[in-house]
Parts: sequence; C-alpha cells; structure tokens
Amino acid sequence: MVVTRRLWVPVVAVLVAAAAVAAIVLTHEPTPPLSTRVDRVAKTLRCPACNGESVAASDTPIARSMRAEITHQLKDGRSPDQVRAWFVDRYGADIVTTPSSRGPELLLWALPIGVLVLGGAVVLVRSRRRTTSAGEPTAPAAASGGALSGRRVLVAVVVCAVAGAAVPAAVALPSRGGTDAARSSGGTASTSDRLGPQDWVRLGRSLDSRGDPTGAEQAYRRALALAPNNDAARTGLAFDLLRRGHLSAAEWLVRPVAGPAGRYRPLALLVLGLAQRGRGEPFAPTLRRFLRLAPDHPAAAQVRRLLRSR
Amino acid sequence: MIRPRHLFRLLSVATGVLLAVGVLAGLTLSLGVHGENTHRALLGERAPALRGSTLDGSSYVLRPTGHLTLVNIWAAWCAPCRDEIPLLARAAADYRSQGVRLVTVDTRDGPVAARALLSDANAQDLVAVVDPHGRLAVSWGATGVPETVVVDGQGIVRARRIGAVSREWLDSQVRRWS
Amino acid sequence: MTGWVGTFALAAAFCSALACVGVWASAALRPATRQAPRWLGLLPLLAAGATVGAAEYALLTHDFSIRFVAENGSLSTPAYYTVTSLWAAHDGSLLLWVLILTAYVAVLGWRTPAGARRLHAWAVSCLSTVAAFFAGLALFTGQVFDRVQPAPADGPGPNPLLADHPAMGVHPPLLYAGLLGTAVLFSYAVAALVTGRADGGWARVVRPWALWTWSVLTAGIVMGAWWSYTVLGWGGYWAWDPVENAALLPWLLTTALLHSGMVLRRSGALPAWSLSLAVGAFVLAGLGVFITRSGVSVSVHTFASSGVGVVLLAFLAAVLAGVVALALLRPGGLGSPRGSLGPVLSRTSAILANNVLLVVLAVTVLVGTLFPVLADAVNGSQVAVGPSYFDTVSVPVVGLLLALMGLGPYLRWRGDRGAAVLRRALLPAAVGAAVVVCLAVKAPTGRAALVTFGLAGFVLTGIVRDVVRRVGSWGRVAGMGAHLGFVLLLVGVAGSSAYAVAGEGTVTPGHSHRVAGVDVAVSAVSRDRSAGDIVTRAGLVLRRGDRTVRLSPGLRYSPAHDMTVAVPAVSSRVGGDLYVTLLSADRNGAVTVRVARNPMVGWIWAGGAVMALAGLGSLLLRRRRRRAPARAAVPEPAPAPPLAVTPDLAARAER
Repeated sequence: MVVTRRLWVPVVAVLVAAAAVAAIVLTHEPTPPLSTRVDRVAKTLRCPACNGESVAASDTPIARSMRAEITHQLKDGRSPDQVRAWFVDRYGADIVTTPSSRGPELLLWALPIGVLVLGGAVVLVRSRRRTTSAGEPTAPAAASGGALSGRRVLVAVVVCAVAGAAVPAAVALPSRGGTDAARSSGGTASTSDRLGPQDWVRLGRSLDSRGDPTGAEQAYRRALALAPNNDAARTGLAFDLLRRGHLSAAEWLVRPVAGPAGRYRPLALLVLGLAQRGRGEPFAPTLRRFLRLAPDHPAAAQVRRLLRSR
Repeated sequence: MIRPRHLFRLLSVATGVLLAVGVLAGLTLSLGVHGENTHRALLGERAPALRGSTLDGSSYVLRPTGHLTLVNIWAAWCAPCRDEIPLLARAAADYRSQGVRLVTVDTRDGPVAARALLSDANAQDLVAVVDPHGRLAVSWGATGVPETVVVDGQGIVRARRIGAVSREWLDSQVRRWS
Repeated sequence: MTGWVGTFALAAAFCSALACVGVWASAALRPATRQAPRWLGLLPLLAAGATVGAAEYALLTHDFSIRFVAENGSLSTPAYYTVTSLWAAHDGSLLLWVLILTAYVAVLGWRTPAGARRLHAWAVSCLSTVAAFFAGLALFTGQVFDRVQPAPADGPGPNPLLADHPAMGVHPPLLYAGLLGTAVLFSYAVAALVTGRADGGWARVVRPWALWTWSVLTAGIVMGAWWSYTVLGWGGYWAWDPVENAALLPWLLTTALLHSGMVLRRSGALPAWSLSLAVGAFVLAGLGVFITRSGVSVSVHTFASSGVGVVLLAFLAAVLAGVVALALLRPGGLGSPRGSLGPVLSRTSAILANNVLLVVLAVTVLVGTLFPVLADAVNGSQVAVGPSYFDTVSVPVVGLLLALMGLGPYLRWRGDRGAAVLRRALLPAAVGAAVVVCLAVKAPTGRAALVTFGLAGFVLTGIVRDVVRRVGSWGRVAGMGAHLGFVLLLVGVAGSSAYAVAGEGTVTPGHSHRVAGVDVAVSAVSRDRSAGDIVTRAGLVLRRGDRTVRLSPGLRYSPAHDMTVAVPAVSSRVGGDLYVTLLSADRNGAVTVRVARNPMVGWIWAGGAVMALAGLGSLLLRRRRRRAPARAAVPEPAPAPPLAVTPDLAARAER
C-alpha cells in the first residue's frame, strides 16, 4: 500500500511535468493585434526629438508620425526588421536601440554572458573544493585578522585625496594643452569648453526653435547655473518665462541685460517691454528704444503695430 | 615570494581597479558632451519621394530638374515655423529666377489653420504639400519642425538644417550646391 | 535674514560633521580610553534641519530675495508643491541629501551595537565624512541662499512636470533615503577594512541597515514606476531610462548583500565579497547621482542638473582609491577564509548563485546605461541602447533567479542529497506545471509569460507551505514575504505585457463605439481654463460585460508652451486597469481615444508594497527579538560563535 502510494506520486508528478513541458514547447506565440505589433517595433526605435524616450513612449508629433508610418508599413505586410531598416536609412543607425552584435557593441552582449559563465564557474569550483579539502588546515583568515595601524589609515586617506584631485586635474589639463587636437578632430570643442554655458545656450536656442520651450528652459537654466551672468541665457530664459506668463520673473532676469550696451540689449528690451505691457506698466519707451536699436529685427513689424494700436 | 593564490588576487584586484579607472576616465571625458541634435543620414543619398496634393488643391511630384530644390517641413502649430514662413516666401520669390525651387511639406496640420497662416503671411505662392499623418516628414528623416533639406539638381540630398533657417544659410546653400 | 540663518546653519552642519569625523576616529583609535559622546551625532542633524527649515520657510513665505525661491518659487504654486519644490532643482535637493545623511549619522551614532565598538566608531567617522562632503558641496557650490537684488515680485515656479503629481512629495525623498542608505553600508565596509572585522558580527550589525536601505529603495523605485504609469499617457511604467537604471543598480547590489550577508553571518564565508557589494552599492548610487546631475545621459528625468559633475566624479574616484588602498594595506592582503563553502547542492551555493545572477543583471544595466556615454566620449560614435536590449538580457536572467528562488530556501545550509531536494520540490513543481497546463489551455499567451507564470506557481507554493509551517519564526516569514512580493511583481509584469490589449478609435456623440473590446460612449466634452492652461475633458462611459465605468481623460493645452499633454484616466480593479487617453476632441463633440486594458498591473504595485513592508517588518521583528532575550554578547575582538564551525574559525579560536 505504502509502496504503491510512493510510486504513484512521482508518476503523477512526472506526467504533469511532461504536460507542462509539452505545453511550453507546443505553444505558439499568438499573433498579437496590430496595435501591439506597432508598439513592439516602436519600442525598438528612439524618438529623435526626445530625451531618451522610445517612439512608443513619446507623445511628440514626430513620434506620432513615426507610429503612423510603422502602422502603415506593418499593414502592408513588411516585417519588423524591414521597417527598422527603413528607419535606419532615414535616421541613421542609432535610431534603433538594440545594439548590433558586431564591433564594440558586441561587448554589450558578451559582458553579461561572460560574468554569468565566470561567476558560475567560481561557484562550482569553490563549492567542490570544500568537499575535498575540508580537513586541510588553512591559514588564518586575513580579512578577519588584526586592525590597521593609524599610520596605514593615514596612507589610505592620502591616496583618497590624490585620486580625488586627479579627476579635476584630468578635466582641466586637456582644456589647456589639448585644444588644438580637439579642434582638428572635426571641430568639437575642448573638454572644458564642452562644459560651458555657451553650449547650453546653443542647445536652448535650438530647442526653442524646434518648439520645445520646456527643454529650452531647462537648457537655459543649466547655462545660468554655470554662469549666472550670461546675457544670452538670461534673455533666452526670460523669453520662455514671458511666454509662460511669468512676467515679473522675466522682467527681473532681463533688467540687467537691458541697461548696458551689449549684443543682447535689443532682445532684452523687447522682453522687458512685453513684460511691462503684460503687467500694465508703461512699456512704450522700452519698446521704442528696442526699435531704435534694432529696426530690422523680425519682431519689429509686430512691435510697430503694437505701438500704433495703443 | 608571491604565492599563486596571492597572484590571482592581485590580478583580480588590478583588473577591477583598471576597469574602474577606465570607466571614470571615460565619464570624465564625457562630462558635458551632449548628443548633437542632428543626424547625417540621407546626406549624399538619393532624396526620398515627395508627392501629394497641395494646400491649394493641385498635386505635386518632386523630380530632379537639374536645379537645386529646398524642402521645408513645417506646421501651423509650431511657433518658429510661423516666424519662418515670410522669410521662406520671400526667398522662394527671389530664387525663382535662378531656377531654384522651394517646396514645403505641411505636416500633421489642419488645412484651415495652414491656409490662414499662408494668407496672413502673404505666402500663398508657396508650394505646400499636405502630409496629414506625418508620413512624408518621417520619410524625409525629419526630427521635428521646422526642418529644411537641400536637394541638388541630380536629386541627391546635400544638407539638412534642424530648426528655423536664416536667409544667410539659405543663400550659402544655394551658392554652394547650385 | 532667512538666507543668513540658512547659510549659517549649513556651515554649522559642515563643521559639526567634520567634528564627528575627528571625535569618532579618535575614539576608534583608542577604544579603551575614549568614547565619543552620542549627542555629538545630533549636532549635524539639528544644523541640517535648520538649513532645510530655513529654505522651506523662504519658499513658503515667498521670499523672492532668496535666489532659490526667485528661481523655483511662484505665488501661484499650491503650498504642497511649494514645499516639494525644494527638491525640484539641484541646489535644494542637495540640502535634502545633507538632511538625510546627517539623520543617518545621528541614528548610527546614537546606539553602539553590542560588542562592535571599534567597528561602529570607524563607521560613524566614515559616514560623517560622507555627510561632511555633501554639506561642503552644498555650502561651497550651492547658491540656495544667495541674495537677489532687487527681488522680483514673483518667480517662475518649479518645473511644471514636477508640480502636478502628489508623488512628488514622497518618491524623491524615499529614493534619496534609499540611495544614501548605501552610504551606511559603505561606512561599515570601510570600518571592516580598517579593523579587520568582516565576520558574522559584521554581517549582524550591517543587516538592519541593509534591510532599511533595501526596503526604502524598493518603495521609491516602485512608486516612481507608478508615477510614470499614471502620468505618461502610454501606460508604461518602466522605460530602462538612465535615471531609472541608476536607482536599480544599488538596489540589485543591496539585494545581493542581504543574501550574501546571511552566509557571512552563519559561517563567516565570503567576507571580501560582501564588503565589495556594500562598496559597490554606494559607488553605483554615487554614479546614479552623477548621471542625474551631470547631464551626460539624456533622460526625461534630468530635471535638476548642475556643474557638480567633476566634484562627484572626484569623490567617487577618491572613494574607490581609498577602498583599494585600505584593502591592499591590510596585513596579509585581501583575504577570505577558504574552503568554507558548502557542497554544490546547499543553501550557501544557492545564495552564491543568486549573487552571481544579481551581479549579471547589475553588469547588464550598468553597461547598457554607460555604453552610449562612453562610446560618445571615446570616439564620438552614436550608439543607442534601449528597452529591447535590457529586456532581451534581463528576462532569461530573471527567470533563472525565479527558479533559484523556488529552490534555494529549501536547501539545507550544510548540503543536501539530490533525492531529498527532489522530494521537497515535488509539490511546488507539480503546482507550477499545473499552472502552465491550465494557462496554455485557458489563456494562451507567449512562451516567456507561460514560463514565468509556471515558475511563479512553483515559488508561491513553496512560500505558502513554508509560511504555514513556520508561523512564529517571524524573521523567516518576513523574508518569505519579500520573496512573495517579488513574485507578485514579476507576475504583474509578465501578465500586463502578455495580456494587454489596446486600440484607438473615434467616438461620435450619441453612438457607442467598440475600442479594444470596450464599448465607449461620449457623455460630454468640456473645455475650461485652469492655471493658464486650457483643459479639454471628455466624459466617457465605458462598458465591458457588466462593468460600467465613467472616466474623463483630458488634454491639457498650455498656450505658453504651445504644447498639448494628455492627462490619462485610469480605473483600477483587481482584474486589471482600464486606461483611457484622450487623443483629440473636435468641435462637434467627436473624440478620438486610446483605450487599453492592462490586466494585472495592480499586482506590480501590490508586489512592490509587499516587498517594502516585508523588509521593514523584518527590521522591526529583529529589534524585538534582540530586546527579548538578554543581549547576546558578541565578544570583541573574537567573532560571534559561529553556527557552523569552519577550520579557519577553529584556528582563530585557538589563538
């Protein structure tokens, strides 16, 4: 009786297990609906106008357009790989977010596998050794040995300090000696220049012109964090704030720029005048000064209309 | 006298340190590097097809004619595009005598708003191909609006400008590729 | 005045943290004669509290002559988001870090664990160093309290994306508390390197801190996922974004440390490995902060960036160099007892394997996150690494982890016979297999999901059996609770990605339209202005079977940004969510909507909550257990009596 029960429990277990394995092997990936398939392809594409979002995750017009294109091509019966290849033709290889298995990108695939194999090997080797060398006398554990003397701790602290100082030094050095090399390699600026507020201003402008004032605002803020008195960043940020209706903040930002002569004085005057107008303050003198300084500015015509209609 | 055991440990510590130093050095180099918002795909290659109906109801097909073509992608909901339209209309009129054409693609836009914008800017003469779902813009590799692509007389893509253009940029491109 | 108080308090925090460094270091050097006064640890906390208080006071009173308020405050921001705007920008969140770190210093310094006085003193000294570094960073680079002359009448307010969700008040502080908790683990690792105590006693002292860090980090990460799910209109919760990854990395290593610490506690094995995990978790947390703050990776989360990148990198380099120097200076090198691991089939090996898998995951996430940055820096090549890469690598690894989770807890520490293991695994395995068969017949899905569900059945049966058997041994039950939460979370992830159905459709008034299997009707479309934005809301009636739900998703158009953002609406049930996004609404009342049925998403949040609560529960139960019996004496410098006497420990005992 006991014997039979002992027998049939494993038998049933093996049968169920076999059924489960069969179910896994026989199961066909169900063909998902079109929307899911579009989503899967969209997930592997980078939204070209966003900060690190995929086409599936982004709500920008260009991402919507790309989803429309994917939908159309999948409906036409093209395979996901063909769709991706089409996008690579249009946007370059880095539009696809799955790294290739060639060149340096192989590292991305090889490293996890390598760590897995190495780690597994270490576990196996160290586990086995225990069974063979249990009786072997071993040296006293060093990690649990004596304490370090104060002098050695001091040495470690000095090493810390030197290593910490090395990084700023590494950043500072190329900006002095390596400028020419950096220029010759395709016009990229040197390391310290790359850090500069100018780049953030440039980025802010390009974002502004692409209709992304939020991104632009962030870029200007970064520039200001690095150089609080950067006229270009102040004016740019003020312009974005003005558009969002933060009139007094905008006014505060541009006031120092609007005074002295400088490249950004006309634009600052424009922002200042518009902010004053929004707050119901006298604005005509400011805008007239703007017109005197920059009669050919793209916004000049509008400003003239504004002054006339007053 | 280094025992093999210690050698192994020293080696692994050294490898770890080297890796860490490498990563830190890379990060130090990368400080402030910001992905440029531009891409070089399509440059030097045959321009994608551009055909469709235009805002004024006719149809348009882009064919190489031996003259330069400027393709501008815009939409009425985009503020820099609105600012850019008068400049484009003037440039289109000025370049016509040189045979240079300026074609625009009105992407993901309501035709009413787009027509109103063109008539406000006195730019009804601009050719504006309608692209309701944005597929034309995507097939031209646009990353946003406004964006301008320069196609030479043989139908090869020569340059691309992300963001609003200036008259100087347009002139320099026309001089360079005509 | 407020600015002056804030700056003075920050300087006081910096100086008192430095004082803590010195006093505790001297106490550690002469443990017999000197003892650090425990109240000293409270000073930095009080000073940091005053700093944060001053900043919040300035924000709440709209004192626009303070620079941070002029840049991040606004009269129109509600009080709640005015409080949270302290951590909406870099300078302010630095103050929050200092507050959290000094709180850790105070808590750590308050109670000396029995029998680990030198270890503890070194740890407090090291943690105070970290706190002093960040306080110094805030003091010398931050400009929170700078004066603005003349003061503007109003400010721009915080970044709009960070002022529209209540999670803003909870998620960042939780995440910071978790990330900075790794600093305590790191401090204990340094203390172990200095004193030479990396034994069972070390593991016992570190465990509560590891539990705390892990629980808080878990809660922070899952809450962030929930936030993005409810805000971003596409129903996703995890995008493998660099900043998300940066929080995941220390979580993975802390998880590994919690497990390897059990081996260390029991048998004194793997000391160097455990120390490396603690140091690694801290360094990766620092790297995460670097990624968030320096803008090297493009991410939707880089709200608060600044030029502190170099300083942070220098700090990380110093930390790594210091740890390596300490390890190399150790008499006898970096040593660990050898030969003290169990046979292949033992709990110890299972935990080791778990550590290997977690490290593989960490390496994957780290490489995937840093590769684009490094490739760009080295040769300017543009490489994008996205969700598809992380999914491809992590899904099989997580599957293995799940299988191990079902097996590991039922292996004996000292080794097991294969037949005995098989017998114990029989019932859970049968349940898992039955789940697979049932699902394959009833609810066909992809292979990966099928395997996940089967493994989940396997693990869950084991957990239930274990909990039923061990009611009363609450530490073990809490541990199993954490496993349970993890399984629930994975089931939610697998289920929501396998069974989600989504579709788009246009609905005209007066007609019902079927989208993604749901009948949708429009009841009203309203447009109104709120805080300068125009919000279009569509009142929808959704009917599926006998379940009728009213939802009103919206579109928020902000004229200032010339940008439209979808405001999704979600109805959550145990069975799943109905997730509706409004895509457009025209003048005639016709609306275009995206309807998604996301089954089992709720399991993810539930799983995260169970994990965090189990971790905290385990922490509380430990304390009670500790108090109940007479203080178990942990002799110093000899280690705690090992449960499994290994040769090296025997050798040490003889000395």
